[in-house]
Amino acid sequence: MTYLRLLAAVLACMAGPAVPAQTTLHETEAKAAAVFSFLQYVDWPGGRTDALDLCLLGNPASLLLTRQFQGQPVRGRALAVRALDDKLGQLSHCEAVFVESADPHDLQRVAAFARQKPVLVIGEGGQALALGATIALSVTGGRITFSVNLEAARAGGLTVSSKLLRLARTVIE
Amino acid sequence: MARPIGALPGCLLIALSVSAQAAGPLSNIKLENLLDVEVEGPSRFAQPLSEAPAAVSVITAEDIRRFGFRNLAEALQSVRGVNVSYERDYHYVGIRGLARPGDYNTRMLLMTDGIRRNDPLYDTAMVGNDSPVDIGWVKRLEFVPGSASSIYGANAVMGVANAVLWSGRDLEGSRVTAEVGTGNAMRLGLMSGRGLDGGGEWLVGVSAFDRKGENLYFEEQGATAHRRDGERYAKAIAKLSTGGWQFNAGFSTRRKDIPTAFWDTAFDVPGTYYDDRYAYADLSHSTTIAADLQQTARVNAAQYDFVGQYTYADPTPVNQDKATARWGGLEYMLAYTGLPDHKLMVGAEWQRRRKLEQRNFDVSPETTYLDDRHGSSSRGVFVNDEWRIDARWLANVGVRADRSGGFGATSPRAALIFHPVPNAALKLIYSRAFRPPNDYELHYDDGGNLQQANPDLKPERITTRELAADYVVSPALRFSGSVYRYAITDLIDQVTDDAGLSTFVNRETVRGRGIELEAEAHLSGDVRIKGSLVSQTLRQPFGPAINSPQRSAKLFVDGPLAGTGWSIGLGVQAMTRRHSFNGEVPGHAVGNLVFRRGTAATGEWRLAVYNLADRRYLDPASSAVARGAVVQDGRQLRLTWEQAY
Repeated sequence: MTYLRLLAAVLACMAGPAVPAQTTLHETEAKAAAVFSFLQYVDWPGGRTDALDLCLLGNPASLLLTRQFQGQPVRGRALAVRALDDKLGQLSHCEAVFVESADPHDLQRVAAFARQKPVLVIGEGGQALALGATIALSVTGGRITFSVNLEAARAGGLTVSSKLLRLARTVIE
Repeated sequence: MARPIGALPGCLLIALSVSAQAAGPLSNIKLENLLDVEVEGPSRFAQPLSEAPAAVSVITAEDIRRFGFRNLAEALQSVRGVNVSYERDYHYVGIRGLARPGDYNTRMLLMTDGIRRNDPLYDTAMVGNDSPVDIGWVKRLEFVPGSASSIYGANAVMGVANAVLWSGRDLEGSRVTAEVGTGNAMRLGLMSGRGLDGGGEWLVGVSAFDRKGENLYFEEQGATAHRRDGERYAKAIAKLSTGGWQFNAGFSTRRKDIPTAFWDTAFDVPGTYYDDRYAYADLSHSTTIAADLQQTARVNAAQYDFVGQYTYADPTPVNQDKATARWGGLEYMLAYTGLPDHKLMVGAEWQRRRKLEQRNFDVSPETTYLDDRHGSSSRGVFVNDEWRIDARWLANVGVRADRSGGFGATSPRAALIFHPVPNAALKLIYSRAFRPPNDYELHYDDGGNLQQANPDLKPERITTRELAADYVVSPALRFSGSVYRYAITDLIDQVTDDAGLSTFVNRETVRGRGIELEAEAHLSGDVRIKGSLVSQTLRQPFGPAINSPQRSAKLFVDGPLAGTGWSIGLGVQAMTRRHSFNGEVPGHAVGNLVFRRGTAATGEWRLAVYNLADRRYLDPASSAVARGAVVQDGRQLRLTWEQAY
């Protein structure tokens, strides 16, 4: 009986490979991790080697969390994370901006600034691309998805890797 | 059976260790794995209102601090096209020129974190100090003008207000607030919350308020009411989410002394007050059926108790209203994202109002005038599709069918959203909505003394057409505006005859139209300006529209006072004259100024001055107040200290 039990236990656990897929992350953790990984697939013009400036606007929980990426390497550059206040005073220093705000105008304002500039604008929700974001991040029913506006990226001189485009739900060219 | 169960703990250990690895450094998660991870959070299922097919206004916690809003009513008042009036019992929200006397905010749906909070007896959206929401718990307040009955059913007639409350992860600690102010006002608040390992979070909050009130001069009495305006409340909330489960509970109790001598009560005599007590609890569970199919189920229960005590001049006995509502319900929603460019939602809702009781009686000698006991139920089903036609065009179409207490209705909504350029949007919206009469309107009757029942009331229906535009010129400049028309047939409205007897009746069709313009600019030196202008008209075939200002203007300026470490926020609101049922109330302009210093992390001080110029102004009131208008507060001070730990 004991052997049978052990066998059953082993068999049950063999179904293990499915387990990582059931891992849960909080929304703020998942979004922060997604933003960090997007940066790995984008090339900025000019071949800079100093710190890469990621700016954040909006949700305080994400701001706290994304700080844990402070100094982490992104394609040979150290990440510098900073929070923007809603007056956007520091916007001209940003190379990437993650706007996580319930007010759609925040994204529009950032996107209006970033147009034709090498600034990666990551917005949230289905409307984000229409509002001018380069990448739209969505949490739909418990899964992260994203879409890319390749045209906007190119207009700003950003190069987006084909792997990112492959994983995207939609790509606008 | 014993074998698989015996095997489980071992597997759980393995699963847990995998989970711990993934939840370790977030920077180690590969993007392709991340896309497979199950994500938990408050907005997991709820449709973000900011993406609603409407001209949404968002008031952030920052705005609440900057401009010193003391409750949801004051925050809503800052929105274009909204005018809130105060009768010293409740705050009454007028939207787009529609503010009917005797209407307890039945035409606005109030939600917290996307869940309905109107009571089913009076249909009240509680937005004043009677609200289950303390203003300190609000992370942001979303206001969606127009009808949203196609998703939410009854009450979502003129607008929806959704208070998104702080969650544990936003806080990661505690926050203490202490406040003193004019009229011996005191408020204390404590809120704590944290994230849990593995995706969950919790939050609890309590607050208490007490105000003795000031001496108020009433022209119609030619006399002063001495400290008859007292108010006190206590509120609490709890939020917990983990593993796809979300639990919310809240409680609020308030007493408001009423100084206006309404309903012919004795003037400047204690013992006339309103008690409001509201409690709710709900539990939701969200699961992913397939990658593109998700479901949420919710069960909720709530109760509302009201006591109104009316003290008359001797020898008339003290009279009381007592009302009780007990209700609960089930909701189910299914979202399907499997069709490219479509987001399809279907849902069903059932609410059972176990107890709806209204009583009116003299306390001593006990004489009962009203003992009305009902129960009822409602059910609704809806379907909504958001269709992203291409990068520039978005269509949002939905319809809901409701059956409520013997009344039925179908409410459709269609919106087309066009982005000619990314920084501009045009929205064309058509909607129909309905509101069935509630038990108060149908059955309240104090024996033919002041109010009479009308069990023959029919539901009212509204049709709205709106064109909204939004243009972000630069990061520092934004314009937006709306033009709209609406028509309400069978409007449920209170009429009062010459003898002072009030009844709710269905009116002939009323028609509203208006233009709303808004601009927001960010100037150098961190100065922010937001202003709006509104012109609106409500036409009705039976005399002038009451409490409907034709024009209103709002201006909010915020910025640092150079070199002092202090910042200031100035809010000015003005409106033209309004009709009351008894003449006219002149137009007014009122300004509030808030000085603030420091941040919550290091300790923040705020000094707010309300009604800066100490203007004496009035709001139109219901027929309960003989003059038809109620005097508002003069200059008020409030000093606040807030600290995060």
